[in-house]
Amino acid sequence: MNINELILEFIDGSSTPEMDKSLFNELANNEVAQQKLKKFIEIENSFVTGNSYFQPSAESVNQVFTQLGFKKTGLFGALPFLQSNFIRYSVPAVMTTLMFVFTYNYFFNDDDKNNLTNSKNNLATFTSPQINNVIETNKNNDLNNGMGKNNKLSKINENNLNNISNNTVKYIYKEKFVAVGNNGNMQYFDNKDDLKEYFDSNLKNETPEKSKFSFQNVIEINESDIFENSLSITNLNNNGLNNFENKEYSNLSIKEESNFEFTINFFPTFDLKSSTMNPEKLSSFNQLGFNALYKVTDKFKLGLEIQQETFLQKFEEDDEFNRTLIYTQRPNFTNIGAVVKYNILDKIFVYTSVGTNTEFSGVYNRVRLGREFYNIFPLDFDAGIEHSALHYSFNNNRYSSFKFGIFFGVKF
Amino acid sequence: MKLQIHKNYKIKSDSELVDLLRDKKRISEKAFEAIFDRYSYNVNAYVRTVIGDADDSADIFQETFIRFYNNIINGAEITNLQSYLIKISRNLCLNYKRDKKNNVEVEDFHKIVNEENFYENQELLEIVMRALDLMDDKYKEAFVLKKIDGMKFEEVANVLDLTLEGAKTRVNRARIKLLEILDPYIKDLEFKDK
Repeated sequence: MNINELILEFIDGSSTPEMDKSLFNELANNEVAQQKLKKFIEIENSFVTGNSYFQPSAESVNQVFTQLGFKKTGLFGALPFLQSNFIRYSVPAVMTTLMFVFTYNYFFNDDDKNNLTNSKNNLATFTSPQINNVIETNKNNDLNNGMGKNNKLSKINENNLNNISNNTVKYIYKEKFVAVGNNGNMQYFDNKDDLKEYFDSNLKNETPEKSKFSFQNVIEINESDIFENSLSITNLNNNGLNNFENKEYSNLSIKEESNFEFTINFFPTFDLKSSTMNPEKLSSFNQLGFNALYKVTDKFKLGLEIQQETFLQKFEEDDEFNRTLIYTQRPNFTNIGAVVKYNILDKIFVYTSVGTNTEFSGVYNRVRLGREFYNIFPLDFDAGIEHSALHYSFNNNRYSSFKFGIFFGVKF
Repeated sequence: MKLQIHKNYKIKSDSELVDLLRDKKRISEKAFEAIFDRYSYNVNAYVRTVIGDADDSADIFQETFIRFYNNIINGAEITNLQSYLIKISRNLCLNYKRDKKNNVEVEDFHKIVNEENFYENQELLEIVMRALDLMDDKYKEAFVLKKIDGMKFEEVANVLDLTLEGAKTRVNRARIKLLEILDPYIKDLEFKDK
């Protein structure tokens, strides 16, 4: 038996102890034999590592099943580049989102465009004499050096008007008290007692009337108060400043609002199919979720959500004896999906999402109708009702599970 | 109760799946899919290796499974599913090859591999497949059945209608021939990753 045969028998695991002994003796003294062994192994290994090399093409697979009148399991079952479960379920999710965005832009976006135009027109009123007078008053009092230091309103002018929409500003209203010195320096206080305490401790011998300090109320403009129903400068003009007229005010502050919205949700829901099936163990985060949204326009937001929840699943199959077996289960799912949120009224919104779970066992979609609440405790909240569904297939049959419930979210 | 969806047909034996092919369409479809998922790689590997041309081998690959299904529906009895599928594809390959001649020469191989740093840019498997094209079909198919499809020597002998010793000899001659062809190119490799 020559060295080639000895090596191949050894690689195949079919060599006898005598063959092994001969091979090892040869390898110990023969460098060529050593190289041969290495090269044989290298060639053999190329078939182990090249496992996808002979995978049939998607077209071939489709041809086979089509010609036999069969279908391959899954929406894209026969397409190798889409055979990953993640791709199979995320593609419809992305497609649905894109379709929604397209539909929205095609049918509804004119309204938003008008709003944007209006907002620019509204900004234009900002240059009206009345508003200018306010700013000038502020400047005269040198108040912009104080709280209004970062105040955007004072920086708006005709040159940058087109770059600013009312979607980017939020008005904060809060009454404060200020002591204004003759030199223009200011000291702010949340209430009169604090102001009095300040004087008592620092200016003992001076009364407000006699001192070089004067007292004023400082007003920040707050969306949740006098401008609750509007973000437009017009309303700031027509409503806000009229309200100011009877007060002493010294400042007008505008804060920039973030384009991102983050919410933690709690959503107790129940299955619309009655069942006594309960999970062996519920996830610690069951019925909790998180979403991150980006504000595309004032009304329209896009983003992602991740949620822990259960769906009741019932499906059946025929066994080899034509008996129908019914299976029931309620797995813990971690669902990840794309979100579209649209404010149909000022604070009333529709929230839709579509996605899949981390086990890729189906596609879910969710619809919420809710209301937003601002500046409570002092957080922002939303709450409402929701309907969700999980669509899945078993043995080429499609099934759906539905849930209904409420949701409650805390924004930050 | 926890249940793995889509898994039940995949754990059935070959003979169970073949029996289910003759059942009603819904069950037959699932059984066929399970068989296809189990052996399509092996059949495609054999056909691609023996035929070489991608388009022609795709046609033979498809025809193999269609013939297989029709044969089973028409009552064919089989004992070894993989061997049966390979035999169908082998017959189709032989018919295809009858009018074809393998014109690839060793010089052609060296020319291809030496051009444009082919060796440096390709997986070793790609080079091995090119080298296999240089061999007679009888060695090539013995090699692919044993080393790529993972058949036992007994199964290789059954498919190729050889004795056990004959099958072993063919496979080993193919391996030695392959090493001779690839020797100049494997020198540089020599366990470079190790």
